Amino acid sequence: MKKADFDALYREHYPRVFGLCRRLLGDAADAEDAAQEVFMRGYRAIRRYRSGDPFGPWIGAIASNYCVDLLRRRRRLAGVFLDGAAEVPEPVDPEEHGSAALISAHDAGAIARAVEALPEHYRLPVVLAYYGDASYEDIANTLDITANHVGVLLLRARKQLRLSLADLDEEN
Amino acid sequence: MTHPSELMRTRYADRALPEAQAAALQRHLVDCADCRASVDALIAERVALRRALRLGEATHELPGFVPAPTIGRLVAWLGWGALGLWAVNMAWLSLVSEASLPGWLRWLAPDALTLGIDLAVGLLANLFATGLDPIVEAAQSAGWRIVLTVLSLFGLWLLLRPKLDGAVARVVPLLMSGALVFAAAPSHAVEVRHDETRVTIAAGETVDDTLIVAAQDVVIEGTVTGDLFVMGEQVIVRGRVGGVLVAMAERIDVDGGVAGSVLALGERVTLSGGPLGGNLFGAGRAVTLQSGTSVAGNVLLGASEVRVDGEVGRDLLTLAEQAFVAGSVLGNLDAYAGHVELAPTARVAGDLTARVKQADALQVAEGASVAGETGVSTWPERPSKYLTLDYYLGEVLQFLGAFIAGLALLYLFPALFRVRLMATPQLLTTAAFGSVALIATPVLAAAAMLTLIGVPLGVLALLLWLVSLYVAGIVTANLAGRLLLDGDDRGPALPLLAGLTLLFVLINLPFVGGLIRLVATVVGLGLIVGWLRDLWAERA
Repeated sequence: MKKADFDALYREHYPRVFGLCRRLLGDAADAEDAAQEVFMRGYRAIRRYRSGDPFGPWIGAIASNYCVDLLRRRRRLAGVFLDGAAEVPEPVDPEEHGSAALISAHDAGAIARAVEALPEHYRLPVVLAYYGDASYEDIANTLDITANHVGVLLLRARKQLRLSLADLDEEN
Repeated sequence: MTHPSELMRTRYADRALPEAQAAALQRHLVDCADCRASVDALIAERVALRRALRLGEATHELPGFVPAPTIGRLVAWLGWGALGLWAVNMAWLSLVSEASLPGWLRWLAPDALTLGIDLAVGLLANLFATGLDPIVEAAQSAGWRIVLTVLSLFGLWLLLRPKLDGAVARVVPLLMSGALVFAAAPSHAVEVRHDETRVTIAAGETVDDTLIVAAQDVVIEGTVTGDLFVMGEQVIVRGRVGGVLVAMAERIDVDGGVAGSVLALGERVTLSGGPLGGNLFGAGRAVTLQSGTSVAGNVLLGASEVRVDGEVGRDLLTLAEQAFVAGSVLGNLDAYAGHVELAPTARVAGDLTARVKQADALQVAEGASVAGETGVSTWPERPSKYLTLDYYLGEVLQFLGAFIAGLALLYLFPALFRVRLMATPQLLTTAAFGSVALIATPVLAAAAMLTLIGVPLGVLALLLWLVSLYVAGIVTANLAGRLLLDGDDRGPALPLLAGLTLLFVLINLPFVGGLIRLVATVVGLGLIVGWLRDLWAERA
């Protein structure tokens, strides 16, 4: 692939990759570095990319793995994803039924802030699943856990989100 | 029927349920309004989350993308740099050296090339004659330099990160190779003379440069104004040397005057005649400072037999089996020797300190004078190296070096440290690869050096080989550490530290340490080869 072709892909996919890095790393400056590094890795590994496939998921997977690796290296993830779901305490859900509507009822800004405030072991699967559009299996691979564990974490993350948005409503 | 669990519903809403389960759940939804409402809400939640997370995505400014060089390109650059360096060096050598070839053919037989071949062949012969130990030791002592190299490569890599614009990324390697060229070229002129049998600088001749000579017999009767580096079987220096004299030969006779220091390594080193303006360092089987010869500085002699009849301007330190002093020493005389004898003519202006095997091994003849104090201490019978502080300090330094190098490598090539060994057969295969790499690389490199084009490649291969000998131990240590900590995920530094500690303890064990070091090196080399093979397969 020529540099010009890659440039075009870069321009098209940069916002998504940057966004993914920012949501995963939680910091814009870090994300900018990470996005550059991700495209650099993509550029180097371009021979492994089959030109018929969509580029977005391919570079997205590189971005996810890179960011999670980075977080791991920073030791912030140490041990969190190692064992079964049993270790992660389940947040208390105030309303068992109908609460799923709670998140949809809030504006995007409030939801985004609530996601940012999630602990890392909830935030990463949420971002990977709902921003990166990754399958449970892909997330499981990236985080080195089972697909079932991914489901459990996502479920609990959603509950936690509902809880914090409900708290927000109470404050107002 | 029972309602599907919340987890099932969430997975369904996330389209992450296996087909059969999804179909069953779908059938349930037809009849169950509660679950239908719940699933709808979960899907709406997913959509809301997706929308919220993508908020502000497009508003970020697009920075320019400058691809940093790929590893392949970097290697190519380094290769071109080395080639350029070599070419410039050759061109320059052919301009200043007085080869007898016609001018336009000079580049075909530059002296450095023949010298390089000699060195390579010598190295190889030496390798077969003495085994691998000296080379492993050399690699160990080169450890610090390798740490520095790794660190500077790391610096280079940092420089080449994408944030710098293209011009910088291109100019830096250029500057680097330029710096290498200038670093390689001495600041003033050097003359190189090389001959199979004999090189003579005649009595009336003056070499107005630094001179490098290699031949079977070297006779310097004229004057060399710069430094003189000489290698051969027999070296005789009767003329004058304006700078430093470095000589390596079977027999070395220095009869003339040397303004600078003298370093002489040979089986038989004799210094007679002219004054030496600097220090004298001599080592060999027999080193003699003849009567009438004076050395202005300190003298350090290590030999089986040391004889000092001349005058030493400052201190004399000798390590010898037999030390005989008949001349004068204007400073202190320190002798570590099996036997020390001071002849009646001996004069020591300072203290005499003898460290000998038995107290009666120091013989001071009547008439010999020692102005200061005379002290005799006896050697403990072969002190164990494990009892010296230096040994432990050295080990600690080496350990730290290995650890720093390991961390840098871990950061640069994380995949190299993720290699795993599962079963014994794999270990054997790896060791086999390692043995082949250990033996084949220097042989191939030496073979490559027999051709003109192959010289830089051969040198590069040898350097890489030495580096990988060092790295091999670290890789093995890391593997051992990971096995030891059994997949404990407390970061990569801990297994490295644990493995290195274990390895350093093991290779320092008496008797079996050397064998363990060899095994560790072979396994590590095998792991590196395997890693390179995977890397290659991945690219293909």
